[in-house]
Amino acid sequence: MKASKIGLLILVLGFGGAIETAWSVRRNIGFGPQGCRVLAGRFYGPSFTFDADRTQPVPAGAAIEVVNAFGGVTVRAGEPGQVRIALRKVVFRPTEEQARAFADEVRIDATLDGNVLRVGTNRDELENRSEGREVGFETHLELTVPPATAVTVRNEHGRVEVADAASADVTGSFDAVRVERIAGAARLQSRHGDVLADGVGGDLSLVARHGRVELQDVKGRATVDSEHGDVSAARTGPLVIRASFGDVGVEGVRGDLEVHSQHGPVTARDVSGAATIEGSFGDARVEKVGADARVQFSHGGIDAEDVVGGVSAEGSFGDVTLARVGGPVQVKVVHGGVKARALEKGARVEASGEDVVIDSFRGEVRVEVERGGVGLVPAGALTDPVWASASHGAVRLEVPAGSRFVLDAAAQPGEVAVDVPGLVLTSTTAGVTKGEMGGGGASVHLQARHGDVRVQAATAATAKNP
Amino acid sequence: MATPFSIERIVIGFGLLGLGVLWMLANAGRLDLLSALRTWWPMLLVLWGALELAQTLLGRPTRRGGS
Repeated sequence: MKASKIGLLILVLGFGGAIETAWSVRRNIGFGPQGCRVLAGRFYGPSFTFDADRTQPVPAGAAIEVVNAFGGVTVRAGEPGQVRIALRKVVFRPTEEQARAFADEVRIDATLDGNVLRVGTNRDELENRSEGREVGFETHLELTVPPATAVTVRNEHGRVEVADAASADVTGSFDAVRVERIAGAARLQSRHGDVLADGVGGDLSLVARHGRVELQDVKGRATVDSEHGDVSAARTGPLVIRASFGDVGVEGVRGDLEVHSQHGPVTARDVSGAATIEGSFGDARVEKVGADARVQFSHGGIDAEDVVGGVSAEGSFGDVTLARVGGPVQVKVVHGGVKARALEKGARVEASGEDVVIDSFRGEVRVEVERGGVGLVPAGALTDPVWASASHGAVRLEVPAGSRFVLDAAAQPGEVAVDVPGLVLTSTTAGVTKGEMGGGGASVHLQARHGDVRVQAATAATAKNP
Repeated sequence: MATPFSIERIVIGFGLLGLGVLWMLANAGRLDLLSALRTWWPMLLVLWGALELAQTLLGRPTRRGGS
């Protein structure tokens, strides 16, 4: 083939490509009050609304299954023995005549298959035609179903609302999903839309992608799997939340709480059972837990208050704050300190980078700190073992009256200062002091490397720091 | 001297004539030019292919205009 012919062929194909491009661009550019903008899809321009309805008798106990796309679905309880279906058709055509002609072909499909009434439209049939592919049309279904009906909805690109049903199984996308007053179990799946579940009598299973999740008043066990969205839960049964990117807030759980979070803070209050929280890149806060609390959070602080059971906290790059813990405490934190008060059954603490201060504790305490100091104030007479070690920081212990223990304090390099009435020193050498109080008892071992050790009476400390 | 016979010239002539008529009708508001071009532009390929076949079957080389 000659070069001239090849050039001509390229010219012809280029001409055709330009025509096709111009055609495509013209269909997606609109001029209006907001100026020139690119419009995509079939759902723009003039639209016209048309209504249709149908009543379908159903046997008692019949379930409803609704399949729809590009339109909302609403299901509510009505009269027994029948299902009323209202279809609102919104057709995007330039003129009302054209829209009406198309809308006349959109119809409700309702088929009773055994004990299941399947409801939808003939959208697939219309979209398989060449004209149907070009026309944008919405189909909004509103159903009134017998009371206590099991409802299943599969919808795309439209809002779904189900209320007063026996159970709900809803899958939606690109719009919100909302279920209310469901007597039994609910199973919800949503993509790109918010999800609200309010009043579920049974178990709840909820999977959401790219949307906010809100659930409240769930009597059964609730499981939430969320990505890219905040999760809030209130007044639920045992609750498990898996969240990837977003805040998690929980209040009022009857039973155990389990939260597995990534990249977001977690707050939990009023958990009657145990609380297990794992996450990162945010703060974790738990309050009023009826059993043990286990918190593992990296790159964020940990705060636990009013825990009836014990607390196990493991964190990094943030402080751990504890208050009013009834059970044993175990803390391990890297690049963070610990501030605790009112610990009833002792603590084992490992920390680095910041100080550890435990105020008003009972039981055995063991603290090891790198690059930080230790401050210990017992709640009452000191009779349980204390083991505290600090490097590049001071160790300070306040001793209440009536304490009974054997002291072994060392500071190298550093000095040991003891000022407690009734504490008898049995050995004092450079940087090492031993003694006993109340005739001896539990072992109190205090050790500082590159820091001082100070043992003083609790009353004296109070007088100095009112 | 008479201009030698050239199928290509005839096709190009009709092509320009058709394009001009289409453009004129579009300017007069009787035709959606873009829509018409979008529908009918592949006809160029069809005509070209037919032209090549005709030349082959007639066994006569094309005379280029002006040459």
